[in-house]
Amino acid sequence: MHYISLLSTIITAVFATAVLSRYRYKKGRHLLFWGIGLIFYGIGTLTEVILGLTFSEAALKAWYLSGAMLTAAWLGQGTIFLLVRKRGVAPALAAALVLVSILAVVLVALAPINRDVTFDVRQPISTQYKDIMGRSGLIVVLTILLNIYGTIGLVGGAIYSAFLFWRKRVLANRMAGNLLIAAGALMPAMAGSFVNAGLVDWLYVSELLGVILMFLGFRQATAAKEPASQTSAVSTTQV
Amino acid sequence: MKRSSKRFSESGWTQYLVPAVLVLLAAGLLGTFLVVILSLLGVFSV
Repeated sequence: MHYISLLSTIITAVFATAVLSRYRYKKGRHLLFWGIGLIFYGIGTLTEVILGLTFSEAALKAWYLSGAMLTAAWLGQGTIFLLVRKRGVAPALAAALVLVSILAVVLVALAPINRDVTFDVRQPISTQYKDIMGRSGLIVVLTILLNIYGTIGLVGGAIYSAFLFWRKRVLANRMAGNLLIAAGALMPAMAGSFVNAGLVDWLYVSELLGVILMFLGFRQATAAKEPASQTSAVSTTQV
Repeated sequence: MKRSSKRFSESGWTQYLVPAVLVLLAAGLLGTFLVVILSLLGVFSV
């Protein structure tokens, strides 16, 4: 069993609950997409736990779909809602993301499984999935595009927000929170690109550190109460 | 004009550490994309 993934799953569940609870009374679409993105994150780490116990085709496909394809894009879309204020742009991008996500579900569901390969439960799935699951060119391209989109949105958005707060010298808690979110989101993004390139595999550790840092960042950024007078461009980078 | 009460006072870490962290994060982001592009170009043998 992979205990790191189990710990990641527990922390992600708490984090997702916090974000979706905030969505219940704040109603920001960014919170909804972050919450869904975190559910994908949790499915990804939970399926790593399952695959650390036994092989399951459904778990493998759920892992690839949620962890490798959808998590970053949905989290990034949340930040797009927060930062892109031009009317209609963020909803249009969200609609495109939903359509691409449905396509991803279909493609991954239909992906062939090579049953001749021996699966080792002691090894992380990230080192074995390429030999077991047949990925079409479209799946690979979609995986890359979704991750680039999500990483630019989430990491780039957090860096940009932190920079704005720093430049204006306001809301130190949100500046620090965005720095933590950027660092946390960057970890699995880097590890995922390393896995994809066949380099060193530290995906499980990066997922754990990543979700801890993002959760701390979210808590930090949402810690202080806002006075009603808050205005200006800085308000566009609220969490 | 009333100044925002949310302004924070300048200190060593906001003056030097924050921009350094921002640059590091941006470099990490670019490095991640570089790895993706290089792997697409077949630079890494998988």
